[in-house]
Amino acid sequence: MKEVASGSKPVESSQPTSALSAEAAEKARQKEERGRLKAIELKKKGINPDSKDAKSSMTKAERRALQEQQRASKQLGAQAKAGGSGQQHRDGGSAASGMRDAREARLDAGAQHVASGSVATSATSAAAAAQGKNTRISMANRVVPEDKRMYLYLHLDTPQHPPSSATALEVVQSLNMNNPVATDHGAGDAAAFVAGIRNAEFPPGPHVIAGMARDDYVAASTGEPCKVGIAGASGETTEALLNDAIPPFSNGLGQRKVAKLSSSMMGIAIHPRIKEVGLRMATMEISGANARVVSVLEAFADVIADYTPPPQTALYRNLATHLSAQINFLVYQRPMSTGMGNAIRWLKSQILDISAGMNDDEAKSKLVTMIGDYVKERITAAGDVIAELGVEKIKDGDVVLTYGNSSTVQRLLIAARDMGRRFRVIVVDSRPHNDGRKLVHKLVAAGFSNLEAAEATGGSSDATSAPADLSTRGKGRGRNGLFGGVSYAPITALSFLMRETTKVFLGAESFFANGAMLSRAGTAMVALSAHSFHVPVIVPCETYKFSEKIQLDAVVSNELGVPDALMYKTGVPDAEPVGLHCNHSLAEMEYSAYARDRYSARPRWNNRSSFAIDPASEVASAVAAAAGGKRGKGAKAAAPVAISEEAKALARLNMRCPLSEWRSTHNLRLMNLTQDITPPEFVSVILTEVGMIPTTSIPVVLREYQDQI
Amino acid sequence: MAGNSTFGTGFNVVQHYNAVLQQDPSISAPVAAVSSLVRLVEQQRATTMLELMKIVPEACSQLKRATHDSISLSAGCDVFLQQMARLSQGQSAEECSRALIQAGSEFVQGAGRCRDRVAEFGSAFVRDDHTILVHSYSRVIMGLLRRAVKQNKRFRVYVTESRPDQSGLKAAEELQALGVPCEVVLDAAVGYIMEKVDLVLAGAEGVVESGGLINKIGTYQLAIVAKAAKKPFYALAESFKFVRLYPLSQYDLPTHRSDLLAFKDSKPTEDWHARLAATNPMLDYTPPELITLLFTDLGVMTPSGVSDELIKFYLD
Repeated sequence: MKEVASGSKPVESSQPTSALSAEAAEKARQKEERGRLKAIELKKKGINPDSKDAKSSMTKAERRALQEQQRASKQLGAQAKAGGSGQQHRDGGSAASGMRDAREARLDAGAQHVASGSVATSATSAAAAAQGKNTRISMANRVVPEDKRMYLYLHLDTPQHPPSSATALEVVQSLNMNNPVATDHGAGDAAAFVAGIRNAEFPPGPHVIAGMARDDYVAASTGEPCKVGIAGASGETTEALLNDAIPPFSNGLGQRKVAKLSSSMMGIAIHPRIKEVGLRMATMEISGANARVVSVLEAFADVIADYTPPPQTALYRNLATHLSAQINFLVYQRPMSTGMGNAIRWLKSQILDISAGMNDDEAKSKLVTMIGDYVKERITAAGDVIAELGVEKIKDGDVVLTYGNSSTVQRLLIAARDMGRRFRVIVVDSRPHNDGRKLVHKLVAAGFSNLEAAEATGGSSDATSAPADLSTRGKGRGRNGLFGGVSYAPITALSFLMRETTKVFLGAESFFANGAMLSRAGTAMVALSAHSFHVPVIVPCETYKFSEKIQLDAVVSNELGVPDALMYKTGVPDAEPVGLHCNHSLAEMEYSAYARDRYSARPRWNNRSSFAIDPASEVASAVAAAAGGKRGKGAKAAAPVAISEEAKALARLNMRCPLSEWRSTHNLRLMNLTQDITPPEFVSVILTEVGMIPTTSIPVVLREYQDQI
Repeated sequence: MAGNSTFGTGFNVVQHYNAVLQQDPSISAPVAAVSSLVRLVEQQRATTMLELMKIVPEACSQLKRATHDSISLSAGCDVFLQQMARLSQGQSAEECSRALIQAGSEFVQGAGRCRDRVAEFGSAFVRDDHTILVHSYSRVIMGLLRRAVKQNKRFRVYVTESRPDQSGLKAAEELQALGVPCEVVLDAAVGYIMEKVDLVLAGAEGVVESGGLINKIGTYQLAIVAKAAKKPFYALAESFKFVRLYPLSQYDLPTHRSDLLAFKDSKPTEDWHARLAATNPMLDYTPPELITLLFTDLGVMTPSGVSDELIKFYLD
């Protein structure tokens, strides 16, 4: 397989650019064809094909690659500082050259990351086996089942910034360096990825496939057996890591629901767009409830446009089975959300409604149009209506509290600001995802923290009403939201912040027929707190997310997050500054005398100096020392001094991150549930496109809208 | 009213509304609004649907402005507009206005019966030897009590004085004429008498989408005291008082003005009596948690039933 370097990626440019192979050319042609078809379909409905994910994914991948590079070079520096041997543990094929370019260094660092995350590569596990017993290495003997691929993501990156499939691919490349794998960072990402993995000749021994679904899938789509998995050095299978992690919940409860590959899926090719969307959902690159549905529906539009039924058969008969296979793949990547389920059910019913007499092309373009309309009506336009309703509920001087990052809430808040409402926003956030940072970033970008502007406009235009309206201030001087601003706080500060909050806006993943709300973990806590402080809880939610199911608690069905996300990462300060390019070191932060600044997203950080006592670099160097010591054993005669140093470093490391050894510690379990259920009485109002409704009215909406859904 | 256009018909909708109310004080605001709107549609000579769709909403907003955003009036206007939206589909202006006039007239005629239906459903809750607490003066409550008297039920009534307009006194007079033993209590004495009370009745200016109540000031605290004393709190409302609003608090009501109780600077010789009436709110919002049941002409329903009805009405 030849290298197909994409010139747009700066980091890749150092690679030798060979002429496009025949296969790649064919692929490119197909892609172009597909794109053209899609563009025609979409233009009809006035959807701009340029706003598709393809471009954004590229730029995202690029940005991420850059970040990765920075991090890698930092790590490298730390390693050098610690005096650890710069020896490459990926010593399998490539000779260690003195001059390593940035890219190689990055890959190496990525590989190291994997290795230190206790997923064994051939080289490291061999080295480890030679070196003897070590708690970390004992993990190497486990086979990570394929459906536990999420582990890999965690080791590749911090949970806050899950890697794109592109980053993951680079690690794969680094691990199998002698078998370069083709990459294509465009829309056909996943396809190239699959092809690359399939075509690469893997040397005997274990491999890590990161970011890719799994070999079964590859086998299913090609028909050829292709075993690529994460195998331990010994190759023996042990119990699933995930079950291992949470034995009390291992029998179904809290289990990641992993769909079995049905036999019907065999022989049906998965569309590259579906692969792309599936992977991006699995890596949490697409994680919002709305974003997931929109991207899945758009992918389905492409699938339908590209679909040709087998000769002598009718489209409407075969399309449903064809789609089922695609859906299976998606569910395999990440459990379906309620909104996705509803949208897919709707799509299937539309397919069944195609009359037998209809021409295939007509039927296809009709379905594509309908999908576009569904997205427009049920999601985009619904969001507009909801934002309008929400703006009505935000008054001047309000202090709005929100949790995490909900696209609907974000839209609503920005709409309210655009309407000239003057209010303050408190973004409450929690580990491990820290989604709220994204929201803060967006709000600051939208000018929420621009206090001068708010004061200037507010002071002049509303001089009469604002000071007169002391009653709405009520909550204490200086705390009211008349002067705008954004605050960011951990969820632990909730009960303090709730005192000054006048309204709580929460995002929802789904509403059940009994009025209970399914949302990201922590939402119930915020709603409970609001309820006990008598603060109204307002939930914007499109009706397509309503479910006829009833769920009484969060353990009946939940999505289990990766336990490792709960560990504090060594060398990565948990209190990472907000914003993508923010480079404040913790030591620069200072205590602010102004209460408002003390927990604000403005650059004058509150952070007591104790934060900076143990700088991140020190921990990183300790890790590097520990890792370097371990690996260096084989080559160098280990001095007793080095061992004690290593032991010390390890001990310090364990002190810093007591959870890092959780896998090998008996009866220590981490549980990372990602969703919870908020009881109906904690939600004051749901803003939907059909109006403001109480939680008790969900069944009515479901009933009245049944024919329209 | 100055600034009110008459749409070239010489018909002033606000004048007509006021005239209707003066003519028959027993008519309630939404009904008067609908009958004025019907007259307007009769008078206008719109030739296109577009014109009609402009005239009627404009008249509605005139009415609302003239009455300082009266909640129940806007409920009536909303009903009419919804009716129009429903009838406008695929019809000419003439057909639509004819259908609208018919529907509106039926509504006005049926409105009187609504109150009887409420009394019919609600009177079953009044039993011999009951002590009833009534807030303020409400025609629909009076209808219910009159019905209960006719059913030969013996009961006592506490009526709150209901400051500042002291409308409770009017209620007491009517009850006395009916021969019902009654007492007028201070608004501040509600807590004192609550333990003697068997049930609490309140009328409604409007019933909102959450199932909560907008009513004469004092209703909210009455409901809180009733809840604390674990007494049933029943609200009476005709279904045309259901209004598309979802207040989250008292300050979320359309009737809230920023100059109400706003700690304005006072003159050294402030006339506190005058200021009291001027700066106090006249309506408050009672959240659905405090309401036991609503007696409506559609039947006896829980607060959540109201939002169900509203969704059904406005969603097709």
